[in-house]
Amino acid sequence: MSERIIHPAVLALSTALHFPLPEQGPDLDIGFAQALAVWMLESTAPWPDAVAPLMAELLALHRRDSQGDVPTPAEWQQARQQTQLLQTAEDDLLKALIQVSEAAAWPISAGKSGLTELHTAAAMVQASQASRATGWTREDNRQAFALLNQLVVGEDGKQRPRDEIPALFAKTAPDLEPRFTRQLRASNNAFIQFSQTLRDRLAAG
Amino acid sequence: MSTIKTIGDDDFAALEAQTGDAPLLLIFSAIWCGPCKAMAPTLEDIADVYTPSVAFARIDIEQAPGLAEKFGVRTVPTLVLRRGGQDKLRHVGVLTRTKLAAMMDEACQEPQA
Repeated sequence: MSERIIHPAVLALSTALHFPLPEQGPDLDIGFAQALAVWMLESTAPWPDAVAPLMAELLALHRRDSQGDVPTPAEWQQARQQTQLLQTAEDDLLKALIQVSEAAAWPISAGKSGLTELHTAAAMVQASQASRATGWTREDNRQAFALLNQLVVGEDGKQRPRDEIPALFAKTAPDLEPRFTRQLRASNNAFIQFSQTLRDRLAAG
Repeated sequence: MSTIKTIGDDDFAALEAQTGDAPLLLIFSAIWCGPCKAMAPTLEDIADVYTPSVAFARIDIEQAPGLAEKFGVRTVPTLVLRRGGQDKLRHVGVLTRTKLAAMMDEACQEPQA
C-alpha cells in the first residue's frame, strides 16, 4: 500500500489540534490544505467594513490558488502590505480579523504555518462573535478587565491567590459577573467547537 | 529540518561572536507554553526564508535560566532581536508570519552602525 500524502501545513495543524493523523487514510495534500484555508476564511464572514475589501481579496487569492490559477508572488506581497495598513484595533473582533488577514496573506504552499495561523485567528473570530451574541459589549469588557486588574492585587499590595478572584468579582460586580461568565463560556465553546470541526474535517479527509 | 538551533546558557557568547554583524533573533520559550508551541511552525517558516541573513536561536527558559535572567524575560514567548551585540527590538507574545517577516525585512535593511 502506498504511503499517505500529508502536506506539512496539514501535519502542523494536526499537531496544533492534538489530533494525530493515522498512517492510513485519504491523502491530505496541498489541494486539501488549500480547500481548508478557503473554508476557514469563509467561516470568518460577514466582515465589518474596515476589513471587508481586503478579506474579500484574500479569499479570492486563496480560491484562485485552490483552483490552479496560482497568484503571483507580487500579488501575495501586495496583500501582505495591505494587511500592514490596517489600523490596530481595540475591538476584539476586528483585532481577530486583522490576524486572519495577516495569516491569510501567504499561499498555503509556502511553508507549514499557513493553516495553524489561520486556525488560531479564525477560531478567535468565532469566539469573539459568540461573546458578542450574548450581548457583551466593548464597554462591558473594558469595565470587567479594569475591575479584574484591581482585584488581582490585595489590600496588602500583594498578589491575591487566583482562586479567590471569581468569588470576589461576583461580590464586587453582581450585575457584571454573570454576564461576563456567560460570554466567556460562549466564547470558549465557540473556539473549541471550531477546532473540533477542523479535527472532523481532518478525519474525513 | 528546523534551522533554529536551541542554545543553553553556555552557548550564547559563541553564537553572538559567530553571528557577527548579522541580526540575531532570540526566541525565549518553555516546554509548557501553549502559545510558544502554536508559534513554532511560523518561526520555522521564517527561519527557512531568512537564514543565513538572520541567525535564529531558541532558548528554553527553564533549561537556560541564566539567559532568561540576562535578558529580563518574565513571560514567554518573548522575542529579542539583536544586532551588533545590542537589543534592537523586543516583543512579548505571539506574532504572525506577516509581522515577523516585516520585522526581519527591516532588520536586514537597517545599516549597521
